[in-house]
Amino acid sequence: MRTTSFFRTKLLPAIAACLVALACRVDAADPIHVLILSGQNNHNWKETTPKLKDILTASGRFTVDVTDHPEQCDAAAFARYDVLLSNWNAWGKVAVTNWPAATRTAYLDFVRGGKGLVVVHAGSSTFYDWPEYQQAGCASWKLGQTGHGKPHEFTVKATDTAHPITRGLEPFKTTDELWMRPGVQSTARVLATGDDQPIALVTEFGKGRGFTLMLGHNGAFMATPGFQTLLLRGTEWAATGNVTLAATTAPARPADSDTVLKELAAYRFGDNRQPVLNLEKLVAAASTDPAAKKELATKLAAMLASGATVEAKQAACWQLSIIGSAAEVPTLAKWVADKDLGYQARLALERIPGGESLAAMRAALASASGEARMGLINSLAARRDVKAVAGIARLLADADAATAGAAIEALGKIRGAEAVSALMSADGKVPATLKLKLSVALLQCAKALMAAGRAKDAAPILETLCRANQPPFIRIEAFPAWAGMLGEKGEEMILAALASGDRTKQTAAIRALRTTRSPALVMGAVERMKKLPADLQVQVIVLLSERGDTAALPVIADAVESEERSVREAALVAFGLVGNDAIVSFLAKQAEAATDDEKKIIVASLARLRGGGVEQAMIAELKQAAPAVQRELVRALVARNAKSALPALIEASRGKNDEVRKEAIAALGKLGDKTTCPALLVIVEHSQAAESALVVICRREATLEPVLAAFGTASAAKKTALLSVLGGVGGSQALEAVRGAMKTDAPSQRLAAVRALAEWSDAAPLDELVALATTTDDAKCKAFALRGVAKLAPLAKDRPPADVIKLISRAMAAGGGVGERRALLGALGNFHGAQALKAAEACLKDPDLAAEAKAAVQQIKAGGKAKTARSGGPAFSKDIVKLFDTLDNLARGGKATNLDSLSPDGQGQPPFAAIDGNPSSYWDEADQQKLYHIRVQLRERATVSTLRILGFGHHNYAPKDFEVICDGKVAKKVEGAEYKDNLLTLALPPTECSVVELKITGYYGRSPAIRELGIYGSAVKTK
Amino acid sequence: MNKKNISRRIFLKRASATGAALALPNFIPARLLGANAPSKRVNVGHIGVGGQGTGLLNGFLGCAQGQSVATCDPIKDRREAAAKRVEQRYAADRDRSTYKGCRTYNDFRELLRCDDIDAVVVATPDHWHVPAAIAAVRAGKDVYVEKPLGISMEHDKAMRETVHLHGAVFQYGTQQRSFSQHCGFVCELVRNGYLGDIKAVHVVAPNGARGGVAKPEPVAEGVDYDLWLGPAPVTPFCHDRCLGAGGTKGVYHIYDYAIGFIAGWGAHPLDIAHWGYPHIPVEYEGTGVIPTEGLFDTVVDWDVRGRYANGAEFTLKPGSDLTTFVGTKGWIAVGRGRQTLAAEPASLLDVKIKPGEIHLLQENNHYGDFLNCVLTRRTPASNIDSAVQSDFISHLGDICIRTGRKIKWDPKKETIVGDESAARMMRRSMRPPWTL
Repeated sequence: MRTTSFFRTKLLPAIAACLVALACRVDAADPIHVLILSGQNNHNWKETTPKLKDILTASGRFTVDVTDHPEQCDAAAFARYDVLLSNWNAWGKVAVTNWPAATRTAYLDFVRGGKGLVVVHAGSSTFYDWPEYQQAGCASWKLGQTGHGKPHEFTVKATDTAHPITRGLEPFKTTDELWMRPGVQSTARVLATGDDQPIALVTEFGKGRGFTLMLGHNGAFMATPGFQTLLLRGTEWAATGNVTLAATTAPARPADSDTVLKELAAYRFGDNRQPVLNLEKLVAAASTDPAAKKELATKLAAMLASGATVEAKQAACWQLSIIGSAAEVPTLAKWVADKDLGYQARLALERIPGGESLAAMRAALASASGEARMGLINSLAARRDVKAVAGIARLLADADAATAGAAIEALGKIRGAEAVSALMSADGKVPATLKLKLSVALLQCAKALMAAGRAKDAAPILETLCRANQPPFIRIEAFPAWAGMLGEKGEEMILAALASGDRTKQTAAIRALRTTRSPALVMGAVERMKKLPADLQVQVIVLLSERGDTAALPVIADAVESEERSVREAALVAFGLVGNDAIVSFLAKQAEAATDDEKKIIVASLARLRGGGVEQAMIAELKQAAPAVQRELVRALVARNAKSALPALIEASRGKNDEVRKEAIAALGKLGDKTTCPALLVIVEHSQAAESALVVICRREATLEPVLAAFGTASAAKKTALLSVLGGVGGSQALEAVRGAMKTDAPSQRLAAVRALAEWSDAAPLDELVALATTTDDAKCKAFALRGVAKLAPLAKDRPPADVIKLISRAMAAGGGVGERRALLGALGNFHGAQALKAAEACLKDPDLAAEAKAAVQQIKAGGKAKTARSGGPAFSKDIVKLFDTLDNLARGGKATNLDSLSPDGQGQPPFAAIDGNPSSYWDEADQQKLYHIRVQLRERATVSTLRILGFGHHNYAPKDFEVICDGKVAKKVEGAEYKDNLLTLALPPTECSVVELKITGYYGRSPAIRELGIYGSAVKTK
Repeated sequence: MNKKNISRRIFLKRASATGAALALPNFIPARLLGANAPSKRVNVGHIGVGGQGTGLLNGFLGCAQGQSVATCDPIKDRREAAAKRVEQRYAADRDRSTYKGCRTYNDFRELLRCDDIDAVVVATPDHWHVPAAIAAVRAGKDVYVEKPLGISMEHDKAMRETVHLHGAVFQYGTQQRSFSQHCGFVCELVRNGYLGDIKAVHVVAPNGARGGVAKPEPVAEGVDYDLWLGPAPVTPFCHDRCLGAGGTKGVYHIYDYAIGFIAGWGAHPLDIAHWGYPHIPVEYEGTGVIPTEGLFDTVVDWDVRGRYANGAEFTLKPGSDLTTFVGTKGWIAVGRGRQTLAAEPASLLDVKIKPGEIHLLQENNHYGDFLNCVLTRRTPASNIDSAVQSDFISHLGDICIRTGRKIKWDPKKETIVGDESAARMMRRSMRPPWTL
């Protein structure tokens, strides 16, 4: 029918392919998901893949992802797509020559299962030894048969006019590299040819479809509508078996702007915005064609007076701001005060460059009023129109304060002599509410003058702004520039201001010091520093550290002695930035009398010192310093990663002072290597720190050699320690060693080995721990083994859950103590399903286990995921977990209750969550109560010496003021507990007890939540 | 220690190479400096207390060096709820026995007239960021400004000029620089040459949203709509425009107020990209989709490809946030979460930056860092100059998509070159009485 072809040839524009989307979009259909296989090809895939993606995406019919590593893909990777498009081959000397079996299978299954495959140009030329690949690809380059000449122009025409892809396709010319005599699979069908060579082919493969397009040698050749039509329709067919996209082979024609504008004219808020988008695309395309641009701009301008909707006119105006020119300015100027179009018209005038738009705005300003006038003032200011100054200056005296204010601001932006003159004349005449605006505008002018090298002209303005009647911040900002201009007199002014006792003047003086080029001035100034209030002294110290001049060091050293904490701290920080090796001794010695916070700063500053000789100076100081200083020096050396300090650290690890020794040993762990181990091995049985250090070194160096070598000749006590080290290091080699060590007659060694297994970092020893637990008579061994099972079972992620649950059940039946069985229930909570549920429910009847069993049942029902971080729950480091989830924690395996009769709140849980070894779950009760009381019955009677608390968040919902009560007696009172990264560590006077309580009366946040509670000491029975 | 024994000579004897101003302080956790009853507190006003603004408020309430004294929002419920939260928090704090209460304001201009306010936090919709922040600086206040920076590149430049002119302390809301210290570590690796010459920077940011119901309604109770719109053009009030919740709020995805997540979320990985590799691509081309259904009309599904002046590649795509630096000696990728950290060779992650090398990390609390800088006049971790550059990248990406053309950028002249129409898109006008 006539109208149909009219519709097709005239009203289906082909600009930028996206308008194909307008005409062809199937409204209700879901987009087709395409995965392009790319990343390797003897053609320029870096250019062609993006082009293919653009063409597909712009049609609106497809979403496109790209993989540069098809060889890493498997069925799962392909699953979400409807069609694969191969722009990949392995031709020539390439990195990836083969696909693994999983990929090959996935690729074929994908198509066989009913989805689609598209192959573009050389994407076919690969895997010649894989027949199915070739078959699905329809055709490929056949060595010895196929050839090509230089790219040239040829005509493509459909030979199969019935197939959906080529139905209605008119012949088209294109330029490309034409392959002569490619090898065509017998199962493929040619749909179109060029110079009698196959161009487009299809095949059926299993339940799926393959489409191959021989065109597309490079990106430029993909630009023709013909290529794009075949690609789009071929891909749609391969994915769905149908084609809905239209065929257009006509070369890109100038957009039919009339249609777009006609459709736009009816656009209302709330309608689909495609008409607006079409206009934007039209404008974008016309922008680079002067004739098209002019024509379109004229039409848009005409639209403003038409009967189009307001929204349409606003859109037209907005686009005029992009392509309008002087020709449209008169029209736009008419609308500048319009209630509906004013914003957009002014936007256009602001954006259209050149004198005409400025002149129009100036003219409009003269006759405008109210908000329209203010808008014009602002736009002229935004354009920095010097010619507008006169007209705007007249408005400085306007009765409407908002207008006068706008005028002031505008002149402050436009600047220049005329503006300055107008503003200075207005000084003293503006109402009080506008004084600040005026000062700001004058400041802007002054600074602009200074930047232009016209200090003389800026001087009178700055002098005005420094007067006492100006707001403080103006004076502070103007003073540095003003004083800076006055040479020596200015320097005197600065020093006088510092000594003035007037805070504003002092602040202004410090600002001046920040920008002065005179080091002598700075040094002169800092000598007067002590008279300044503390916070200003801090500012001075900071500016000294930014200047980095070592001449400031004595001043900084002085400041370290200040009575003001903030000044002291600033000075200590400054040392790190300004200092050198010469101050190491002085700085380190400050640690003796320093607070904990100051010590941290000292360490950071020592760590930060630059220049040569720093570490040597620190090592020298370490040898003869007081213990408090030594400790901080050790920390600083670690922070500096100072391996040269290892000998000195080994010496320090043998010193008399406990704390220094521990610190040095830990440092050896952090910095040491194999050669450090002998020193540690000597003391390992006496020092937990040495054990930890060895673990750290062995892990880092990935070797157990030093430990294993020492084992044979070690004493029993040392062997126990070494086994603990092996347990800490983990891994298969360590496991073998520990298993070997278990085969011994020495009970202490066996126990140590079992304990090491029980604290393993993965589930490798799980089975033998279960075996051990069920066969041993030794109660202690059994206890350790069972706790080990409880700890390791949740880690056995690569084993079938059913097996692990069985192991837990066996362990539960092994006759361990209540604590052990509770721990096992806790482990059970990590699983889900009927089997786990049954095992947990079986314990509900046992009064000793009821609470834990109930919690386990809850967790199992929740999918066994309760132990992993909830939304917003942080991931907890292994170190943190280890601190609490260890047999050293006497609370683990104990029993926790509350004595405050409050209920759990929000995501909080009953008290046992504080001792379950899992930081993700936490004890938390109703907010804002006066008293919280948690009671922990220890696993065994012990002499407790340390308490640790992990709050909910750092200083956020955590105990702050509380009493630690051991067997009814207050052992320690805490007020204002200071956590370090949410961890509180408390030393307790050694107290023998079975029960530890916390009575909490103050807290961070709204309640004192506890993720984990750790109670450490030594069990009363001997080890 | 007898300080009389210290003489200038000792310190000056072995002068080491200093010279260039070290604008980088040590990494001292913010809570240490001035943590307990500091000698001076910074009084803070909060402009914009919606979802993000409330989150910032909570963060600032945790800082001992600051004191929140005012909240401001054209939505009455929000400013009052925020003020209440402040007062509840301080009521439990013994250190604040002299606290006089948190005032509320509808119009930020009134808040800025308060002499007792030292600094403001701007967490308004994007189109208000720069106008409100500039007004604050011109009232003598220091500013913490949420990302992205400006609704146009002209806004970005104006903010920068104002900050420098007034010597104001400016912290950009790219909090990863403080809170995600592993990002700073990666940037230090890049800056100190551990990756060799950079060949490519790939940035991924979460995709924008389609949607929003375009149903005109009467203005909701307690909303000063005219003030809320501010410099943006007048359009019918809709619930989803102003009062939506979560990540699909109108303010994030409507072109009058924002350019979309290409900036709104893009700011974070782009900031990290610029922090590690402080350059801006000079060429941009790309595709994207502008939704036509519903209220939201900012770019989604973007695919931007760029090139730096030295030929290095740049890409910006949607997905889980990630910044990848590819150099001649290896590559390293980092996102907000620590688990995203990956490198090839893996040994890069074990590198310890030496004292003499470039250090970027400041404090581990972005709000505390800002407050400390207000007190000491240091430059905060996320300064205006880098904020402008990373925001420029978002804008240039948006412009190349909307024009469909390759956009060329001159970093010295700071303008789009060779494309006059595209260059116009660097600015927008403002509804009076609002101005920059």
